[in-house]
Amino acid sequence: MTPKRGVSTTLAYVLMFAIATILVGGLLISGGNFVEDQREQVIRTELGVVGQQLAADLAGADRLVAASDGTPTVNISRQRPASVAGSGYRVKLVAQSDPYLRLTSSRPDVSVTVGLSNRTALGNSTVWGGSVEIVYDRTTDRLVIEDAS
Amino acid sequence: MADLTSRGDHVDGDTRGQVLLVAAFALAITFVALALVANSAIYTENLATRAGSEDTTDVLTFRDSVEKAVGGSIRAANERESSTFGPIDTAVQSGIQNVSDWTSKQEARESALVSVEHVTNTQGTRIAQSNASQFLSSNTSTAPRPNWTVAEDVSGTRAFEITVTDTATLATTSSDEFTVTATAMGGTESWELHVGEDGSGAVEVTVERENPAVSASCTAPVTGDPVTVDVTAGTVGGADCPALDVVSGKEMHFGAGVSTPYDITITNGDHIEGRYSLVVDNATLGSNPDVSAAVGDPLTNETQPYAYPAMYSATVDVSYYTDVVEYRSEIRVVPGEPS
Repeated sequence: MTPKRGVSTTLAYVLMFAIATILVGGLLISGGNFVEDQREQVIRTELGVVGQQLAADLAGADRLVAASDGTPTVNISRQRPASVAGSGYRVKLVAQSDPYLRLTSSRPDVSVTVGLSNRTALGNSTVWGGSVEIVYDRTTDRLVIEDAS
Repeated sequence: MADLTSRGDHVDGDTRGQVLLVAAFALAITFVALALVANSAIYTENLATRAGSEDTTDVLTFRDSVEKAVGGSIRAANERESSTFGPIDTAVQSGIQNVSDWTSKQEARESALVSVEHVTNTQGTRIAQSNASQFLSSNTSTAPRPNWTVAEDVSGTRAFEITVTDTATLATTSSDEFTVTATAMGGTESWELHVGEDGSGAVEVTVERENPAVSASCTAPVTGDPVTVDVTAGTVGGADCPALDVVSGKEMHFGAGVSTPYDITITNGDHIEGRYSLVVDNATLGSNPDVSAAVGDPLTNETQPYAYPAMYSATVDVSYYTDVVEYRSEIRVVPGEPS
């Protein structure tokens, strides 16, 4: 097999290259998808944890306001992770008859909802994740979430 | 056919496997990204184990303990029975200052900054009879009467206790029973408390309210003397009495259904024997001729019942600061007020 045949070698090389590329590309794509999937799951879980802790703090602030006669000053601020698995997130408090907290991460777009139950009125508010402060607004008699500054 | 033997071109042998190398690098980066994601997952698990809500529990515990401490201070100052309000005011304010000093030291150990400040207080009057005798008026110019006015123009009553020392003096028919009535001033709504005997030697307490009309009663669990009826706390002979609390969803506490201000009157005061004490928020009862103004030591005071100035309620400003919670509120402390 010593004489090289020009077309065969090139064709063989291209074929080999193509097969290798397809195989490796397939491997990389599935690997990338796998990491993306895992990332999304982790973001969902972490947003759920942060959301539940925020809801617990809101319930605590609700208890403090309900236990006071008159208009108290209530302020709960806790350090929370500023990003979940590398993505920032927003927290939105939706005040309606069935109030809830919605946490949405920026990239990828994952959204988690946490239900709330309260006695004090809540006010619609949105805030970036990080340092979230729960404040009792004395002028409007509502609990809102704010950026802790 | 491809030349797969190493006898082929030397260059070919060197360049083979480059794609594999590049792919390996790319895969390695993917694995590193996976490691970062796994790190986030572990952090999330750690985050989930952090408990958060004990801060609000601490605040509520602190608030409750301040309320009890200030209430105790008010009670202690009133019990000293001063004939003027000034010493009581001073005593309670200094008591509140003590509460602030001691809670600051105690809470500082839990890294909390607290303070309790006196804001204002309400002067009232304590009307009491400390000699065990019939509940008659003390009008010294005419003979004591069994039907008389205890207090007028009252908006709040607290710490009302009746101790019956001789159950045999109680009546069994409702028209003869000893009655305490709270009647709206300038109106007809009334709240009535009857203390009588149920026929087998036990003290029976009946409560009637109007608008809507509800009537309920309860009996002391044991017979014998003495029996204490704590009207504002809702107990008879130490047992809970729902007739003084809530019956069928309607409030039955002292003065329920009666608009303020109201008058408190006693009828059939000769059908009971014992002691009583109550604190009302009207500070000007010195002009009531049926009650003698505070004079001397009440235990030896022959003119009973008597009225002493007392503190009815105090308002304090409570604040509690930690790195997580900031809480500030005014608390109105009224020990023994029916809720």
